[in-house]
Amino acid sequence: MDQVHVEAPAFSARAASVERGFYSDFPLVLNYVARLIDDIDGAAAITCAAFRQVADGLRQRPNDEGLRRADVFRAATELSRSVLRPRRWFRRQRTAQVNLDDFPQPEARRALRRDTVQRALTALPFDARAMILLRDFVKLSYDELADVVDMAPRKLVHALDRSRAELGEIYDYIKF
Amino acid sequence: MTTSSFDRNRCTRISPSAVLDDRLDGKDLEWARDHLRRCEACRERVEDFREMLLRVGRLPSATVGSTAMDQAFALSIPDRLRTQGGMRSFEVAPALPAAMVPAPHDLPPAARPEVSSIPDLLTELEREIFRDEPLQDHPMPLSPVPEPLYPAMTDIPEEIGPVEDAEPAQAAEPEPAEPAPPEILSGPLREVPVDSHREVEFTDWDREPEPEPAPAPALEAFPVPIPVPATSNAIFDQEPALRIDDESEGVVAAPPRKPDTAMRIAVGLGAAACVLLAAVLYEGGLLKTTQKVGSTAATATQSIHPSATARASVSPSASPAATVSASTAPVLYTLGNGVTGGTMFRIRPGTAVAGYTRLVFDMNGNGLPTMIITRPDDLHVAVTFKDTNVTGAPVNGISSYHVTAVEPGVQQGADGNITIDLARPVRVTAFTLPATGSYAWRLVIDLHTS
Repeated sequence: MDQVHVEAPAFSARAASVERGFYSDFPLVLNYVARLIDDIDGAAAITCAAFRQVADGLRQRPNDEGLRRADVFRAATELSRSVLRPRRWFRRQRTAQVNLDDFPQPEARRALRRDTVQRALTALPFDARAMILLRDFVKLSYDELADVVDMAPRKLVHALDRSRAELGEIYDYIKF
Repeated sequence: MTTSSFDRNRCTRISPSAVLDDRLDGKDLEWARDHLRRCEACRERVEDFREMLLRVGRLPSATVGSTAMDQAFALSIPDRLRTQGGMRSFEVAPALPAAMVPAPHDLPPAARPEVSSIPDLLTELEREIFRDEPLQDHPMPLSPVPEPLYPAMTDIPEEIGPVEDAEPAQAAEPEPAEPAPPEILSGPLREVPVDSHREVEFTDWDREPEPEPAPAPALEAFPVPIPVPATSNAIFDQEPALRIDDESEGVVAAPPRKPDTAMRIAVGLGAAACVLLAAVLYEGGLLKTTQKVGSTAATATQSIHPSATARASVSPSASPAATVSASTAPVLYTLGNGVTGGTMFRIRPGTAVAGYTRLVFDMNGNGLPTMIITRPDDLHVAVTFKDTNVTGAPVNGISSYHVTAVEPGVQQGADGNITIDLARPVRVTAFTLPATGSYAWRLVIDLHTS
């Protein structure tokens, strides 16, 4: 009787893709969220939540598709926005916090706090901050950035112009 | 695509982001190069933007160790999407002391290849722009070498000895037959409020992080491949915005609700009651008139209820106040011929000249009564008509830059009082006019800006 070649189940290919995408992007997303919300302690929980959200959304995707980087950044951005939303009456904004081993290191915590550019970024509106970080810090392409911030690529240039100009003004103001 | 309009003071024909992000091509690119060659302002702006872009790009990144990545992977990715046994199929480089995140060897390259071409594009552009004048007006190029990062970031991070040492010992222990219960993961998790106002948390940033008091027992209990079930993700149970896994709701116990809920409800009810009370008071006119009372101490009894003032003024309680105000206030003018029995029947706002407000008091009778103009305080002028009835004069709607309102006439025995509420301190002048033609006897008061 001939041996029948049995292919590996599709989920294992996806699992490998997800694993690869996670280990590739997790530090980047984590640092992005830390810069975005100016809180390195809360960044881990938001990053895990973003990955979880995207991973759960893979049920509706084709089998061979892994984690899309733009989806992860979009989820992280929206979760960060919800965390930074001003609290309302009778409802305090809370978020869980994840303790990861050897993260964050005290040096990273101090660096994030001392950074003049970070302070200028924190003074920016949320959308402008996210746009600058995604483009200049994470170095997303324009197409990915347009996907994340849900804006036409043509308008992105002007939005980035405004955001960078505002950041430059703030930076010049606070740098001394 | 090449224009920008946010800066009104400088030339804004070039969009620096379009130049720096390589969004121009064809004629746009040629035009931009040509313009940059000639326009100093645009060149400076592009350079400023490039510096800012590089500053953001050089921000130090915190490194994430492999253990932390494994934990995060176990927390984030559901079981069905993990490989067998939750083992990582490749090695992740350990956390480096360098500031930048290490790139795994077998991972896809960076997703934005044109980033590396930014300096090249600018260099090429600069070379082209400054081909003719290489030594003048050349913006200072940024050093390609990244500036030194924070010394603290370049230090070698402390090795977390106990965790590394404990792992082999833990691995020797028999593995649990079932996946770890969720309570294991709930150990290192703690819930903290995150406030959007970052100033509150700044004090914590400066403080050295305290050593974890007791994270070890729960985390060290994990074997090296962390077998965390999908339902054990306890991160997202608290906040709807972060809740992405509904299956975990039933497994992870919700934290005890805030004990101060009753206090919050009580405070809310109190606030609502205050708002309601304020609305009722405002609708009843009490708030508005109370403010007026506060500012007109001398005429308080006359001004509280405008519609009832005429009645109230006859009461004994109102008379002393008015009498006191009339007797103690400085007299500005005393006018008139002493005629009695007349009636002041109308007050007319006079000319609309911006410099002053004119009020004309029309009077019936045989002549002018004695009129005493006093100033109880800076914001009031009182006119007393001797032996004259003033209660019939309508006062509604008289207001101007100088006059807030004219209060209804108050009759004190035979004398009538009219009080003018001023919007600001004024200089008062007054004179009288005889009856001529269709005009009655008149008292004219001019309120000048002082």
